[in-house]
Amino acid sequence: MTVAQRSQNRYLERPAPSSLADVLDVILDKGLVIDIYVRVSLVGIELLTIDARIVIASIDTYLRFAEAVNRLDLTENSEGLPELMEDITRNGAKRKTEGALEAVKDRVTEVFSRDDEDEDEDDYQDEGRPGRTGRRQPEPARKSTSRRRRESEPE
Amino acid sequence: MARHVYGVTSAATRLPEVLRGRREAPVRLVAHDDLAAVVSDVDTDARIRRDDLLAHARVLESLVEDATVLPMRFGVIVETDEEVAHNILEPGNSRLTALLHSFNGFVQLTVKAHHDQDQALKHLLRERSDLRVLRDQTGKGPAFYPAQLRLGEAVAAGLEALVSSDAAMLQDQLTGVAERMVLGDISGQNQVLNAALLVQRAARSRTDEAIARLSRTLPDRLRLRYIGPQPPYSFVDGELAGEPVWA
Repeated sequence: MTVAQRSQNRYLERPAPSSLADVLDVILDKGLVIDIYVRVSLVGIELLTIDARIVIASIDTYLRFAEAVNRLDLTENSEGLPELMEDITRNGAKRKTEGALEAVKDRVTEVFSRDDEDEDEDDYQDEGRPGRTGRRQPEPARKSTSRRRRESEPE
Repeated sequence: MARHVYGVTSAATRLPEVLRGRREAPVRLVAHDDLAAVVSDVDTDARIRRDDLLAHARVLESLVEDATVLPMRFGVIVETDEEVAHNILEPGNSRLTALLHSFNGFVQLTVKAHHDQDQALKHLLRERSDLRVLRDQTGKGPAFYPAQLRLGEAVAAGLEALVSSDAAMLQDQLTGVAERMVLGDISGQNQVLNAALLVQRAARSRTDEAIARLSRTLPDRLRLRYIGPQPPYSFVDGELAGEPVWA
């Protein structure tokens, strides 16, 4: 079972194509740039990447570490301990090993998927909307797109 | 319809027969003298989605398999092909040509490392008796709150130190694998290393082997990701050091 335990690193025989989390920093921060031609609202995107970089060093973090350490069983070396599995479920992390990356990716996905929905919406019904600066009225309770749709329809 | 500019390559570059960019628009070249910009049509009103960002990266990644490409930062949008030729390729010609020459035959490969948090914590506890002592002083309930905080703070500091030492070890191991290496910011918890390697296309299999070998010898707490091939994002940036190509 040593192979299975090494599964995280097992696929490194060849480099893999990038995921969004992998390239976000390079495609937004690096490369040639011509300021006068930059046309996307990079302000928002930069905030997003900075946001993704924030490491929360807080009391909450300390308590979480303390809790994690308290649960560790040092006498047992093998992975896949029941309590570790429990730990994963409790923390709601899909995979403990990918925690940080997933977190970044999730946030990105969250932010951009909002636009995705908007875009689809626009494609179908919003021919004469104002340009990209024309963000809609601030909507209260941005809980779900479907609700927002319903809310904005009476306009 | 404006043009999204992905990057700049030699006019001799052959695009793959089918290459789709943002919103599935066909990717094409706008050539001027020896240079060509890699572009696709884009609706400037469209808001940026995550697949727009990914498309930018993927177009460049598929080109660098065979060609040398200078990557443009995401978001460079030009109105017309003429503008691409006369406002970008023409004034930037000598600088772009020099850059293309200096990166000729090279690709970027990125190695990212992060900690498996549980494994890292186990390692810390095994190595550090002071942390085990702190742990023994904690318990359940509000009375132990200060002890929990003390433990957590010490663990956080320990993890940070472990990140530094593991990063140094990895850097050491990666030295010599690539022609050049630059370290990027590490973002977020558990991240240990973000290293961009500049590698000759012809030497890629050797690099692949070196990374595979490294990944097999690492302690359990370290996980690697190996990404690429990419255009030399991290190195173009260094070459320019904030200087515009376009005077």
